[in-house]
Amino acid sequence: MSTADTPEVLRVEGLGKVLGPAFRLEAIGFRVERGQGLALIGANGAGKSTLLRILAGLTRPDSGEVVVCGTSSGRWLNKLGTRVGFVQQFKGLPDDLTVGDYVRHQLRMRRVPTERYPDLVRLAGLEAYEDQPATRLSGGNQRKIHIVCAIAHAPDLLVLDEPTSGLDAPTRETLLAFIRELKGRGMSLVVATHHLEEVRALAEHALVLREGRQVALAPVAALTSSRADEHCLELRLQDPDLDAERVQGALFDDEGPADFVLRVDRGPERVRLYCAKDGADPLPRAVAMLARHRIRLHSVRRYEPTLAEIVAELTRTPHTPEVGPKEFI
Amino acid sequence: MTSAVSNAWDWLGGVVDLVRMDLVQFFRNRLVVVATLLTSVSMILSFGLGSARMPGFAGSGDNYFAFIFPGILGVGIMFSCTYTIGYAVIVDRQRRTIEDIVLSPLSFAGFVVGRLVGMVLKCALQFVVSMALALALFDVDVASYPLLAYGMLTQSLAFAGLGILVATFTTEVSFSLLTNVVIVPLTYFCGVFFPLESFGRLGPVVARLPLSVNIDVLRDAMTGQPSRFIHGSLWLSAVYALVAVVGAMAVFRHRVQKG
Repeated sequence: MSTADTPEVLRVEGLGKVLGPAFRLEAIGFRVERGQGLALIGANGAGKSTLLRILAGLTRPDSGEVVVCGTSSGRWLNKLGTRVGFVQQFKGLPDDLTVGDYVRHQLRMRRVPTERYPDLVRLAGLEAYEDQPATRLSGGNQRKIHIVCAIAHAPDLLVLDEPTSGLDAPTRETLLAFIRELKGRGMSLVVATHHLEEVRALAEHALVLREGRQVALAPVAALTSSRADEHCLELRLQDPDLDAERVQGALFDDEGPADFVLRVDRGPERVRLYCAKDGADPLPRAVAMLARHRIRLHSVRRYEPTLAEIVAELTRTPHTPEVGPKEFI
Repeated sequence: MTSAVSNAWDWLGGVVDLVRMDLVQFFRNRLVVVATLLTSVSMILSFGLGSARMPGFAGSGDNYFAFIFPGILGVGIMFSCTYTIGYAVIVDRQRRTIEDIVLSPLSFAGFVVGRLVGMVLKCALQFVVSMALALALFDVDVASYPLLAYGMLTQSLAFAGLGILVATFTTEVSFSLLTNVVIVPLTYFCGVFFPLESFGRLGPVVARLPLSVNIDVLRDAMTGQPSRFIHGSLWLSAVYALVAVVGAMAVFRHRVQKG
């Protein structure tokens, strides 16, 4: 069976790395199949970047094994270089080189036929910028340059360290669509991220790290939907300050308290209503109540936890909620 | 065998490409080109105009400029190589472009060789411009061009190796501080401004310092009148270059692997 047909692209077993007296990565193990994605989540300092550097071949593990398409990394650094592409979290571009200069140089350095250049530039949507200095491109386009260089040698596995960090929402969407397209072509992904939408967009499974230890490995859907609470409604109000006050007032109007609401959690951009589990759907009741009081809703949805809340729960660390007072009634 | 040749050819191609990109960046940034040439050119002009009529030292040319010119070249190469390659490596580290090289088939040695060759070529430009200026405007002779090239090459490699060594463990700020600790004393002790014989019994010791041996070779190449230290200087300049390059490769590799 050729490696292209091998369902298992990445296998990590018993991986450990000591980074000093205060931190060690230990007993990490997971598998990734072809065309699948694994999200690596955890607080800052949990060991995500260290693990990614080991997978990419930049750091040697002290114990355990990394096997990509049946080839073990062994004791040689970068033995898997042709199999793996790595997109670092922070990476600059050289001064005084155009996009074309830089990408062609990267292709030659990775011993990729330069005939691939037009396809790669087209894939990233960078045709219009070929003659522009690479350092003058937007953050999103610079990130695309790094990604096309990382995939130039057609690796089986693409390792991404917070690929959208520091990017605005539209650029993030564009970049995620680009990475999804690569994944659709059969490339496997391991991606470290702090964003739930990235986890959902790019990964089927998630691995949660805490202080260098693997505390959970589960399907993404299981991590998120099992924690969703249909009795908690999240309101986005058109005028968050004024309307949030009016929500409180509406709960105690002259028709009597809305007793299906047990608690209100007010954040800077949203208000959460924790409703009683009395067998009735709280959504229509809440919408009717708000409409009756002419409270202008931007949106309302059933609550799903944020990635930070999921990580906090799995790692049993206190989660600091979004800023804003909690008010109980 | 064919595979080994093919790999070596690919490796060489990678090094050549790295050098080519280095030079493209260098020549596109005119400020860097001017800054590279400015120190040597201004020193040659000022010392040439100011000291051409001053008497020289016995066995070191007709006037003081003929004596000091090899020292000016040596100091120019030392500062240029150490600082230029040092900052290049620091920028490579900070921008993480070094990691591309590590992840590519080029290898650590390929990266260091590419950077060194690029540095020697940039240094050669400064050297040629300085020589042309001195030959055209002032009373300077060259007795042996091969020896001049040998002196330039070995000194460039030695101080470029030093630049990589220091830059591997420092930032922009600590790099210049640490580098100055080494190269500023060398500037004043290594026979740039006066003959090493003036140091008396310390002369033979000072004559074996890196910059001293390089200037001794350059001075011999120009005057054709070897000093009493020249045999030691000839082989020590090669040893310093070799030790610096091998040391830089080993330390740099260790540092990048450590992350």
